Amino acid sequence: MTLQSRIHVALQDDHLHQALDGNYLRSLESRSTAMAALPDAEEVRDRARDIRVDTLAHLDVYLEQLESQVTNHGGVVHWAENAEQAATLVLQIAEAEGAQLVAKSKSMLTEEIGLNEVLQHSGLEVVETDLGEYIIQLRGDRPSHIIAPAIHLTRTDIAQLFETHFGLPNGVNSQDFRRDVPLLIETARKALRKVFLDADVGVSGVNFGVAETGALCLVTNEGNGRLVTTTPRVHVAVMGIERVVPTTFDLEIMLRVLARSATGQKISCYTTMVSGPRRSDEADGPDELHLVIVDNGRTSLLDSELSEALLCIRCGACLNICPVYREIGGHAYDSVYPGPIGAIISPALGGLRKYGELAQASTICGACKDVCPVRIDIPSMLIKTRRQHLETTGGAPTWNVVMKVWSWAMRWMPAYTIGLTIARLCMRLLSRFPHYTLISRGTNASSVPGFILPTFRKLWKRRKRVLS
Amino acid sequence: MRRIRRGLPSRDPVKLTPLRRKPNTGDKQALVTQFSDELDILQGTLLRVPRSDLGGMIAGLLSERNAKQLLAWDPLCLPEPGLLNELEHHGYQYISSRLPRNPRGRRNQLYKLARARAGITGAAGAIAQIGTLVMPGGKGRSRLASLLPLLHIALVTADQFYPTLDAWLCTQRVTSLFEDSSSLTFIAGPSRTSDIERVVTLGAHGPRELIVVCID
Repeated sequence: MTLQSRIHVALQDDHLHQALDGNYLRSLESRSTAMAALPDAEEVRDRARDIRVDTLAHLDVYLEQLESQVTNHGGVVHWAENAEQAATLVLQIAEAEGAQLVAKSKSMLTEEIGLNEVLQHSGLEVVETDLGEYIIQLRGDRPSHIIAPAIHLTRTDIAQLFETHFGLPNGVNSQDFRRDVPLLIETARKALRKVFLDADVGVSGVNFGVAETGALCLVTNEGNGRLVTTTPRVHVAVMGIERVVPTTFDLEIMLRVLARSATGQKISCYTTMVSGPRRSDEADGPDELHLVIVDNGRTSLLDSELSEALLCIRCGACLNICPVYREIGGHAYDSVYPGPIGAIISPALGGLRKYGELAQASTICGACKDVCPVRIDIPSMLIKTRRQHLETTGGAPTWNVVMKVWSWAMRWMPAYTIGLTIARLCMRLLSRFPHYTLISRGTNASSVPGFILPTFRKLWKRRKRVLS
Repeated sequence: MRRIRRGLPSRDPVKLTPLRRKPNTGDKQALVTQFSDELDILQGTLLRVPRSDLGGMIAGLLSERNAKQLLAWDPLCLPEPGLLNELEHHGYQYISSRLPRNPRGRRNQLYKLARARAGITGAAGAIAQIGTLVMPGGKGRSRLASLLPLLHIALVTADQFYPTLDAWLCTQRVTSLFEDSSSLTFIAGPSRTSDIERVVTLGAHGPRELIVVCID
């Protein structure tokens, strides 16, 4: 399906709009309240941006420091150049452990590298433990938001799903079950608790790796991040090369903006830092810790015009505010990373041919830039991505001709005036035919409005006269 | 690594100016009150109790929830080392959370630990502005005690309150935080999720109830 037809499907989906509208209102309000309550919010955002820029400028230094600190604390560091290598590394670690069950906490990167498919293909059972991701996995669905993956589903959808998989809880009828969110969560808690206790390997992402201490920071609300890094005997953390921060103090700054931007909380419920496997005198924690550091196209962005995209801390604020995302939801993007930042990251990492057109799904209104906690200039990168996409694909031939003529006419006044007069006459003729709107099917726009008189240039002249 | 280095542009390093750090001069009592208000928003509870009444009060909390079995930090890591002994006198059973090294033993032990209804821990600090506890790891400080049971009771003393995370960090030797400990966690209220229609629900995977007990 093309982007246009996916958008068309999404726009027709009332169910989806109901879910998206609820998400939009709640997340926007809580974000702005939380940001307003942050002392020196603008200064903190500047600081957060500086930290990210500094980190990327010295990425080699910080990554080496991180590697040596993780190793010092008894962890094992692996480097993966691409998605396939990364997934294979995780598989090998799991196989060496003789693992059957892998518990995962939510990680966009593991979705980017297609980890679940690789592990499942080799006969491992993989269970997502973030509630939203778990629901998505049970449904065989795809996540539609990087923070709230099941945002496109209502409680009735989820109740029906749980009823099919687990049956109804004792003494509850199916109508009550569909209303009772706490009971739904309790049902999932029971099923997932068993997974945590039985899992041989826990796989997590990394929100930030702290170079100074080797601590891998994981931010969750549910506590699944803590469980996945504590109960299984082996913990494998998968991290993108750009997710480093130099020091614990820098981490603290990033934490100040992350939860506020993502969910409107002052801090997420659990901010876990793990450094190495459990020490010999510690009661619990994993016996082995592996850190897989993944490039998968990121190095080629470092010195490119899209390098700013690597500053992203995956808070999802730009998704929530985006007028396009709000209407079409995450699935229409058909990529692991949806929304404004996704429209830059997806083509940059996954290829312009496949994802380049995502950059068209934007009004370039700049709302994303305003809310971004690290002030990424998303709109100008979207325009750059559009240009790159056009250069790669060559653009549609007729469109190119039209644009060439247009650019010539724009530079030569008589051609412009005559051209527009002819166009106006054509439109007037055309409008006599009842089906003239059919030509709009050939364009991106939904309708073709006629030209209005007087022209702008006439208005301008008149105005100048009045003013003088 | 070589690829990363090759990919790096040559640019001037960003100058990170040192931040104004505010020393921890807050009035401790005011901090306790602020912490309590913030924790309230997060749907946790702060209780204040004189040291002499601690055992009785905890026993009361446990019996209300019919929690017979407990996970806990080692007695010496708690601000009141005699507490666990006292609770055992009251008939509460304390399970050691030490996980064996072999996989099968580890799993059996985990299932046993999962039966505990309450966990009792100390904390390394309490951050007033965000109602957050700092939960260290290390010898005698089980991670699971603050994670597996439905009720988590954390014991703190009034001198452990700090206005901000930054202020707490300033009192630490940051580089040695992870020398003898594999984990450090900031806990802000009970475990929660809003994955279903953004309705906030407590007790997603971790504790459904968080009670912070400030010993005066």
